Amino acid sequence: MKTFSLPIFSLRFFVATLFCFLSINNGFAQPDGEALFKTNCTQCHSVGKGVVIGPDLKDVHKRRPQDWIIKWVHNSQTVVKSGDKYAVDLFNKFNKTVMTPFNLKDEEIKSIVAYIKTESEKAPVAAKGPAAGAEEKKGGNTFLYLLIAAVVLYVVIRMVSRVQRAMEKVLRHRHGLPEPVPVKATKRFVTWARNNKKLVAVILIVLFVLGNVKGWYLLAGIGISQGYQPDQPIAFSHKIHAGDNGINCKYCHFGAEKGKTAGVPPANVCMNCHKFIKEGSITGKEEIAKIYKALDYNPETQTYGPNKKPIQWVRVHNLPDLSYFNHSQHVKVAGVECETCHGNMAEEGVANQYAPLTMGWCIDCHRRTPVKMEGNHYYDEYHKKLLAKFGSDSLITVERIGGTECARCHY
Amino acid sequence: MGNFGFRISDFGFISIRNLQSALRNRLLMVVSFTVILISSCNTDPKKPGYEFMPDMYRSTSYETNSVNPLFSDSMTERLPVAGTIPRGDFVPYPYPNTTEGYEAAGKEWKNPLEKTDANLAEGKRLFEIFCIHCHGPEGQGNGSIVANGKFPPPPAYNGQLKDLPEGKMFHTLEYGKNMMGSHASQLTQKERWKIIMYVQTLQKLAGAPAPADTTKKG
Repeated sequence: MKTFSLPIFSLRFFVATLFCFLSINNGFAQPDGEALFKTNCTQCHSVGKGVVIGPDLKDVHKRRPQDWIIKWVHNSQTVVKSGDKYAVDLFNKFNKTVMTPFNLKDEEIKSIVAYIKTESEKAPVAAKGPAAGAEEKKGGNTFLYLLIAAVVLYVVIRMVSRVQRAMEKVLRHRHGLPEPVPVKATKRFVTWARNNKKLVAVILIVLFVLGNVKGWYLLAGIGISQGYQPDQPIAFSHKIHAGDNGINCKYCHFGAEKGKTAGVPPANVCMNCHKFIKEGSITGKEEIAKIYKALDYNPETQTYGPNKKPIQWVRVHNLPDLSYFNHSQHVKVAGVECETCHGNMAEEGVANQYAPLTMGWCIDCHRRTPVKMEGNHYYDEYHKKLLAKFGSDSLITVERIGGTECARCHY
Repeated sequence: MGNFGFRISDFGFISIRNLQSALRNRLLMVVSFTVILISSCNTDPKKPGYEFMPDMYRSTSYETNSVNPLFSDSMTERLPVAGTIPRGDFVPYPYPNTTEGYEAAGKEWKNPLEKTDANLAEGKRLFEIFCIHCHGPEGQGNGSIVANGKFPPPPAYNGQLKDLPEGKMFHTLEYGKNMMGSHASQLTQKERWKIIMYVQTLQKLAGAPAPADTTKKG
């Protein structure tokens, strides 16, 4: 009998291995032309976005042969001095601004040109709609993939066991063994369970423990929205704004130092940059157009209309009304960094709740954080008294100035 | 199960043959499905999770950014009534958003704050929040957004803007100028003067030329 089980097992093993490989995310590596272009060229050149300091490089591969470009990048002045008419005209057109000579390898320049070529061809398409595959929208499909995998696996297993049964039948026939009497599935299961009491017991115990553990966490998680990351009306990426572009959190959330809430930035703050930046690096024009729509702004004429419609962002952090929290007290007075409670949003992308926002979490921090005394001259006398009371070398935590008293937050 | 049944000789040992039979009996299928079901609930980041008696989670009073049915634009945050000014040391800005206003502000509008180390330090801190990503750490027009090639470089403080008077800077912060938008909603008047105080120290920086010049010289 052992003879059939081996190939069937290996078939299943093969299927399983196949799934393992399929599930590995094989993204395409970016050609390094892009990186080279961005580090060396963007200070003076754009692709399809007009003149910055030097010419727009859109379709440069059509205008100039590659050898010429390589010579020009290595040292544009030698090309100009050689009397090349195009080079001289270009030099004069841009007020005799000398392009920095770049010590790049021929291969690197070729990869940059290849990148410009792909960008040139991409530019008009990107204008039509959003670029597909927004990074933030991944992840939701995992369950779907698992389900498909489970269904396929089930079908394969059914087929294999059918084959197995047929082969058993053939074998029985050959050896003249009697056909087994067909038994009902339920009865077969009961018989099996009786014959394998230990296995059934193990499975039941495992299920019981798992259920308890899961149930415990489920109950303990009531009222805690840690990790909550709802879809927002605009696919805004913190990673691009705070991370790649290095904008300070408080540039947009300027309420953090002044008031109770850090504040969702009003759309006029968006417009400080998006008056110029009309196309996002992930989502194209679609998402930025939503700001214009909210402000009834016409990017062509650069004028605002009367039909403003506020953007309804979905609230992520919601501290219940029973507790009072003030951003300015923490950010301005205590000098707590945004990251302490909100995590590194510069790498996170979509807004999400990093901290559990439980009372235990608040209290823990109040117990270990020392009071920021320097630069707070109003309380100099009080701070002196505190140090006299607890000893001058002791740590005056927030708890020691009453930071864990009920009425500090609940009133 | 006769010939094709199996027995467990030990808790720790289940042969492949046994597993196959178990699968045929759909038991493991059921088990694995239950495990997947149990583990898949409550992990959707798009849902806020369960709430017990949510009456205090959902505030009945209107909160800062909440939707408000009392106003036609549905916003709880309101602008101050036209013609009113906040209490404190606020001075209404008298110049209109015109070229004449810009020139007049340059001549007449002066910083009321004393030039102290504390004000300068605060100005630097605010500069690093509100200005640095475009104007760069030393105000030479090479901030992180400009370096990324996403925004055109602003002129250098110690270059083209070397002799810009403080009144004109304030006017620009109030109304915006060229590619720069108004920062009046983000910065109070005092904060603006502190930033301007710091920018004036950057205007006096000598030596290092703007990045545009570097490329010109090659």
